[in-house]
Amino acid sequence: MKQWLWLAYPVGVILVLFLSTKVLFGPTGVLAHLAQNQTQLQQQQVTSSQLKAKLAVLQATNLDSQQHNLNYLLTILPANKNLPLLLAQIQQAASNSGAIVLGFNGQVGQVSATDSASQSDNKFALAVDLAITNMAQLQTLLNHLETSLPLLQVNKVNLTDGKANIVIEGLWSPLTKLPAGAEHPVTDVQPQVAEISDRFKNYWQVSPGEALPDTGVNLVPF
Amino acid sequence: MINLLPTTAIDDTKLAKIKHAVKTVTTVVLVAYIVGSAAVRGRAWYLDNRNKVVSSQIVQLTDQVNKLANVEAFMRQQEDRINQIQQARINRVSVADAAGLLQTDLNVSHWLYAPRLPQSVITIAPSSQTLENYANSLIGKFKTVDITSLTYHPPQDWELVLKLEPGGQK
Repeated sequence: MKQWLWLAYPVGVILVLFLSTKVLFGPTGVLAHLAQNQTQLQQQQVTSSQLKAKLAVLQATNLDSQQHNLNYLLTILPANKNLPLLLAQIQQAASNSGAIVLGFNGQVGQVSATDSASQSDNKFALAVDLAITNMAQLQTLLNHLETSLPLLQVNKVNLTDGKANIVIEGLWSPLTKLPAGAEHPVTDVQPQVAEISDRFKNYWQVSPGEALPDTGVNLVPF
Repeated sequence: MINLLPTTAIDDTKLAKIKHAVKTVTTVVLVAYIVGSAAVRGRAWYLDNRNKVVSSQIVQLTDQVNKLANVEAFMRQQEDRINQIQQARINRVSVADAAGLLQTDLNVSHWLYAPRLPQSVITIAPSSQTLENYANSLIGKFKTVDITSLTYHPPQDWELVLKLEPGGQK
């Protein structure tokens, strides 16, 4: 028996290695835990760098100028259907061109919405009957309408024997709740705002007093 | 007995060598196991700690970002509105442009313009020549000018139906 005693050392080592196999390579073993930690660290590092980048942009941004820019954009594309303003736009365009408004007809639907889910009835169109003397007057009227703010679209013009029926759609879009979070980066939109401002600089707005422009600034959604 | 003695002496030497080799290999394996295991555990410990540090950074950064949530909301709303404004102005035919291309002395009795149906223009005038001139004047102003029909309605009306696709040089 004593002659085999030397084998106790290698056999013991083999046993230890065998028993620790599960601890090392099992599904809950050290190596699996290591791989899991490695993946988690990589994900967290990505999130951290996204947050750092986002924070840098946010800290470099001025809240007042952002508010001012958004208010300006809302004068171009309001968040609510503003019927009095649309009527004032049409009246002013008609009076500037010399056309006479004979009547309005249209369905406006729900006047305000704060979420896209409730925007099922988003049409905001009016059919307007006007007395037109000639094509030049019609062109002037259309030109005035198409260069006014808030934006509107002329969807149909039907001119017959001095009477024009024009379908005008006021453009609008409610403020929606937009996704936030580290994975949604923010970008500085100042250059785009400047580009839009330049593009619409020659557009006219209804004179104050003719209609109270409701730009629809409603910060409740966020 | 006599034959066995030398054999036993050789076996003892061999056995001693085997024992030594086995002991060496076992020791090498054991040391490698201990070193490898320590390295793996050390790495796991490092990753655990690093995860805790980064996780804590994320909490702090999220907190700072949340404090600026208003700025973020304004920026996102602006971006969304800019996209919608740009979308509203893409591929639109200017109705005023189309109307302006009609000669003011055409004596047009009927003009129908419906940019969404798709861009179609129906014009009724007392002469086919004036309508042809009108159609020709639109070429180049729009991407395509498709004359759908030119019809004579006795005794004096001519009807021109066009389909216009936006995108030409204005």
